[in-house]
Amino acid sequence: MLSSMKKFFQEGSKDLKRIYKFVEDVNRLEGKYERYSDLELSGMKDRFKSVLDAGDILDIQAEAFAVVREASKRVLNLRHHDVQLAGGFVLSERGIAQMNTGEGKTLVSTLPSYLHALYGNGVHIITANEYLARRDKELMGQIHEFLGLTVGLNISQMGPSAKREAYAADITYGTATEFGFDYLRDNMVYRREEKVQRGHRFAIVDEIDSILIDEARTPLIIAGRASDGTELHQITAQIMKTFIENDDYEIFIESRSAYFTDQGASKIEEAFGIDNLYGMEHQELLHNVTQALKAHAIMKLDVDYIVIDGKIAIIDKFTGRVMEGRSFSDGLHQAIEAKEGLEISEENETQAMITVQNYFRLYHTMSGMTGSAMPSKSEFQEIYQLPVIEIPTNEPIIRVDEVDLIYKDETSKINKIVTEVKRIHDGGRPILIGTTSIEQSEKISVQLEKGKIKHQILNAKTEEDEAEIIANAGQKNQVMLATNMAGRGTDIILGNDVKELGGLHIIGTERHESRRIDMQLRGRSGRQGDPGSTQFIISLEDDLFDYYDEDEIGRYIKKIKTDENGLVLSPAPDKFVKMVQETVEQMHQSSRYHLLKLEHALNEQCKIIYTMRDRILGMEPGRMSAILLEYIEKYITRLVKYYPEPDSSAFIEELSPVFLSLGWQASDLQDLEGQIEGKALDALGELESRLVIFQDDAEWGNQVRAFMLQHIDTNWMNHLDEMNSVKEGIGLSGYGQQDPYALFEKAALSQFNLLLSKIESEISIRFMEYMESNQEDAAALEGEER
Amino acid sequence: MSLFGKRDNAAPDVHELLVQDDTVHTALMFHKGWEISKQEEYVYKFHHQRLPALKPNQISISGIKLTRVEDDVIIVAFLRNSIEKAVRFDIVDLLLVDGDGKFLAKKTFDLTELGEIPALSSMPWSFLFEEGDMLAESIPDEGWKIAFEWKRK
Repeated sequence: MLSSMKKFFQEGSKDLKRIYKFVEDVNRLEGKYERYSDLELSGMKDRFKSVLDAGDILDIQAEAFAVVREASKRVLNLRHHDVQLAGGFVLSERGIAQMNTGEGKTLVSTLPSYLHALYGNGVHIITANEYLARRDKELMGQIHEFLGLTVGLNISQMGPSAKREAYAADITYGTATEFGFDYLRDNMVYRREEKVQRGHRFAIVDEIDSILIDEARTPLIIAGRASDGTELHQITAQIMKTFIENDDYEIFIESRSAYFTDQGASKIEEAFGIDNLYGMEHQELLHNVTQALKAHAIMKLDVDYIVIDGKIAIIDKFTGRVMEGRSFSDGLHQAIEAKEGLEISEENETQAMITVQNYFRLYHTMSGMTGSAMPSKSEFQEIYQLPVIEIPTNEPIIRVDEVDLIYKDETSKINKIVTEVKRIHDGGRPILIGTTSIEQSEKISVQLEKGKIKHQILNAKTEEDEAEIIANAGQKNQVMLATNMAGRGTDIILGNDVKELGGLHIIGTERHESRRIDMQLRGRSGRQGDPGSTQFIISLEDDLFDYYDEDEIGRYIKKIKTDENGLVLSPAPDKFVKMVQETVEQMHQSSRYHLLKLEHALNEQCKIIYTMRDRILGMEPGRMSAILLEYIEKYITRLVKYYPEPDSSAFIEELSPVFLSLGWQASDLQDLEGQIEGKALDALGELESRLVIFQDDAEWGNQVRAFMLQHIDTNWMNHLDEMNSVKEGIGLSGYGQQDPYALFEKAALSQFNLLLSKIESEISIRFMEYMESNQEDAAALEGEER
Repeated sequence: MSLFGKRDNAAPDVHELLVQDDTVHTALMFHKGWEISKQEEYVYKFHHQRLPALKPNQISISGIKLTRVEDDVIIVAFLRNSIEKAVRFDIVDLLLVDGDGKFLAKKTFDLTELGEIPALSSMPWSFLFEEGDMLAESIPDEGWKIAFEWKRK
């Protein structure tokens, strides 16, 4: 067996040596567990746990894998292949296993999830969508339940108690978005019992490249509170309709941004009767018109978004599917609604925000699987310290990937696609045509119809329908048009006789900005040693080339020689396309680094605030006055530090709420020269003694808790909004010789210090005011009694 | 004109710039009691910019928005003053008319709470016309105008 594994892995490394040895260990244990009864197998859980308590995970790793393999054989009649054991090993050791489509990644995840669930801190398995979460939980969950573990499903629309139950399970299935939102919601609760998650120990992320790389630019945002910008959005959208590209604004396709020219800015100034659009006092208008311009010039109907039932729905660029429940942030959604003449939805203010990447950084151990990690190997290593290990296929791949055909224009390209489809279809072979958008699919569909080729467009309403339809793409005579990532996670199984015909043929109609997505498309053919073929038929007019330097494209096009059908023959079209694709990929990678660097500071701040919250949440009611006094003390100390001459009248004024709350008279505060600091600390002592009476008052303690959390939360939300505008600024301005990230970090830090002092002072002052009014009430009451 | 009372003290001449070529471009003012957001402020700025210039020494009203609340309508309009002195309104009759000058609604408003409209200025205000004030079957969304009913002595 060792030799057969060695054959699988081409390159030798010390990692791989360990993997061979491990697989061999697991295989050697197979006979042992075959002889175990069902009961004995499920009892292994407790034995493993006791070993873990005293020792190391490595002591039980091979045994645990062998137990899972045996359970799977009994429950699902599926035996983990050697390569699946190898994949499981990589996941267990905090790595990314690159495994091809059809290699049974879902089954692989059962191995490390069982092992790590033995720690008792929960294992989270992240799937690409909720349909897959449900499917995997129902299927793979059977193995875990057989082995005595509990399994939960975490999906949207579930209430907190159902969620709490799902998280309490040993293994929980769900999507990244849902896990991330739960985390954000958990950090907005007022009582610890309201939280649903119980920590972040171990996560296995399926399609990890799509989560950590492709979705890098869409943070998860919880928003609330409406604002009243409706009419202004309509006005700015109207103004944009009169604007002309290059005269009034310029577009930068590479960064998907647009800026006003001087003329454009003057037109806006004229429209609103203001002097300088870029003046400090007009930041809000500038923001609004900038979003209106983006909606007008960059965001395209049916490419970036669609309109359903009078509402804007975002299209996921990678799947072509509608992203349920997401909206564009920062007023862009409203700007697009205004552009399309729709009713304007409520604009929201950010209450909590996290990027999916930063969410996963919370985990003690994270690992992942995908069919396409290798092209981003260095990015995974550098940013997430996750090594990528390529796991060989169980059967050798016999799929033929033909060289790209590159046409000079879109018409020639589509003509070729239609003739190719016709040629292959005549033989009965199934064909899957991968497009980059629904718009593209429809364009090609029209041409196929003209050619009288019966075909199906995959444009399903739900992920479940989509999976069902695409599963049929391997049937004889089938021609199917689908966006690149549609129905991911679903195998395309070949129909009868299709193998003999040569298997599934895939036509890619555009090279994607990321080679990984191309790889995934190709991977849908030739699964588990099946025959198959793939080819990209593209044109120099494809979107990919828009991202590349216009002049260089122009120079290349001048030099090209084509045949009579428009096929580019020279100079070296495949090399040119490869170079463009790599450049674009590089560009996206840098913009991800940029974002990540900016996010870093904010993420650290977020953790500090959430720790502050957690401390307050976890406090016994009786300890609340102590924590409150701590905040007040910090506030006073900060003030003392801030005023170098502590006896200044400004200082006394700032401190007066503290004194007045104790019922001291203004006259008491005069002639305090030289003693103000001591006096302030005395005040604190007196306050402390007054709060003693609340020690056993749980209700009071809980009120103080809610009061403090509320002040932390509102200030944090404002801070998030402010930091967002600082971030915008970083993108816009030039900095001479200065490092923009260092500048941002500096700005972020000083804003954060301001935030902390605001929280402390607000809590102190508001509390003092409350004490003072209480005092008055008490006095009034006393008066009445007399 | 009995419609409004002139204030006695002369307006400061800081608005001279607003008076050009025999026409007056009023400056936008908001009533102290109006609580409006920054966004709304820009909406008014935008509408205000689009108003035609006035001849000197005029008082006029220009409607910019009609909102229906069940059977009532609310008209938001700029009250405009191209006189070089501040003015105050008291009781005024306002008419809603269509493009052909046909009366759509009429109501008497007490504008004393409006206070003073400074020299060469415009101020937005909203006017509620209730069901009982209507003179026509319906009020069109477009083509309506709001106007003072000038009373003869």
